[in-house]
Amino acid sequence: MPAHAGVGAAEWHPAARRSRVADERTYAWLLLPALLTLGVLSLLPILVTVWLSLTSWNLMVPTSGAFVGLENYGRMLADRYFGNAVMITLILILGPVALQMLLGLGLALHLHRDLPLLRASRAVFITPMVIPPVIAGLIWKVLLIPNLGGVNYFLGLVGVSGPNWLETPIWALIAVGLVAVWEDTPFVMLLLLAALESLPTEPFEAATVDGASAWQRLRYVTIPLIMPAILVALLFRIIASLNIFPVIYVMTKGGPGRSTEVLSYYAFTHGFQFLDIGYASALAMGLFALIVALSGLFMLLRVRFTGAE
Amino acid sequence: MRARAWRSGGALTAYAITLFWLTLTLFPFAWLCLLSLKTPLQAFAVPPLWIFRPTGFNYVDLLQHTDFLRFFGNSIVVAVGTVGLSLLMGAPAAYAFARARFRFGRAAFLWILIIRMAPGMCYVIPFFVIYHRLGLLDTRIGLIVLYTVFNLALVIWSMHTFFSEIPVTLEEAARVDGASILQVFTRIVLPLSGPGLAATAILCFLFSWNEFLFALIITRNVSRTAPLAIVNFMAYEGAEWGRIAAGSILVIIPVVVFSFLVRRYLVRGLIVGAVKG
Repeated sequence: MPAHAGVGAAEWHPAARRSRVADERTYAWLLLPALLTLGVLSLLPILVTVWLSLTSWNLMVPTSGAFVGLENYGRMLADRYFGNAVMITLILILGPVALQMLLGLGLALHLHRDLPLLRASRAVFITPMVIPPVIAGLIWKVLLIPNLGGVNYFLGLVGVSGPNWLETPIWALIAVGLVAVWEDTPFVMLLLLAALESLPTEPFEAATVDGASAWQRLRYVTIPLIMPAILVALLFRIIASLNIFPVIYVMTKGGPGRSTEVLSYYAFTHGFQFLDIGYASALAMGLFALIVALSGLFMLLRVRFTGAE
Repeated sequence: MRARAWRSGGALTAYAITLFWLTLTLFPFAWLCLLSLKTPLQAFAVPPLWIFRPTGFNYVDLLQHTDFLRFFGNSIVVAVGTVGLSLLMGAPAAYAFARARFRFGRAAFLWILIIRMAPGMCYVIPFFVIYHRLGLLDTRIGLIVLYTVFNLALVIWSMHTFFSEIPVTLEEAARVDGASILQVFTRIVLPLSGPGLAATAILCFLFSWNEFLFALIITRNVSRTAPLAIVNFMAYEGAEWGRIAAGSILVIIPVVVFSFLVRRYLVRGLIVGAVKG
């Protein structure tokens, strides 16, 4: 038998080359099922959504489904509830993500010590981010029931009379935002902790020798060194903010009024309550565009601030 | 930054902050747990009851008077099916990527990123339409296929890392002795990557177990999963909080156990999209 391909001179041997071609073919077969599934089933649905968004298809109107060009998009831009949904979506991405990043960084810096109890507590910290988001929403829905739930009881203990959380537009918005913070701050914390732990100790020792204060070390050594991890955390928090749908679904259903109606929920009501598939598809594409725009903006800022790539 | 760096009171502050965040993390779960053990009357006593005689009423009620057990079973079937199908297709692909001369890295990662960026709505509408045509609405297999699409990227990426860590020399030796690529893969590589397979499987399991949006739209009664069943207890006049709490606890228990086992891989998994849809 020829030696395994890729071992120096064996490359020149015709038999070895033949076996290498055969090898690559075997590998290709191993790849095929997964790539085919991924390629077809992850790309095709998006194309179907684009196509559906160009039709007037409504499941309740049997004769609908004609190609209407960009009509749905025109309707979308004129729809003030769409504008509202975009606003709410942006608020519920930027607000919670900013808090998650600040709290996550703060917690990571504090937990980054060799104290045994802290290490053990990390396993507990992950719980909110691994439970189903609907259940997180349900737990907080109970806790926020005025007079009966736990939150207002504890606020009452310190002399604060808690608001009627989910029935007041602004408090409802704050409540779902805080649930997002509660759920996903651990993600940022864990990511940054991992980054902190992989840092070399020399720069800190050098900074200490040079007489840098704790704040200076943080500002000029730690933060720049973990900047890549901070940016990764930021990008993925922005993208994953879309996961707020289940929380909205169980806590507020977009209400009261339309105060927590994020774009995904708005698209959901059109698609699966009014069965207006055409318009819902256009809204879904609008959401896609929003996320791509936000991520693109993020990439630009990243190049600007770190000069990376 | 070692403890030395923040000398005075540093450790104390760290403990205080940890304690505070622990309370914030655990308090809602404690509340849920207590709620599941209270009678409806005790559940909303003011001020809240901390000491009371716990009752198993909610659990018995949930398991005997509702279809919850069946929906819980659906969740298990769908999750196990998703894990099986994803690993069956994803692991060989990951191995090919790790050993063949195809370029994996950036392009694939970008692809995964795009899939992650597309909102669930962009998938659920077309899948709803297609499943409607194919008669796959409200079937467990329909849900399994849908979840597998989302998990494949995770499996390939995760297993690629594990396979890359296995030294190639072992495999080369086997090849010289006349073993085929498939034999090397099944007899040598897979047994060596047991922990990696287990971690990947658990991440897939969590994704499927926690998923809400797709299940909400694809399933009705036959294939409804447990989280959906719990949400449905809210739909009637006045939410049935006892049932909701008991059901939530039952759904959370496997999540907590599994995520504890894979806690080291969790962040990596979350980045490629496991755990949540």
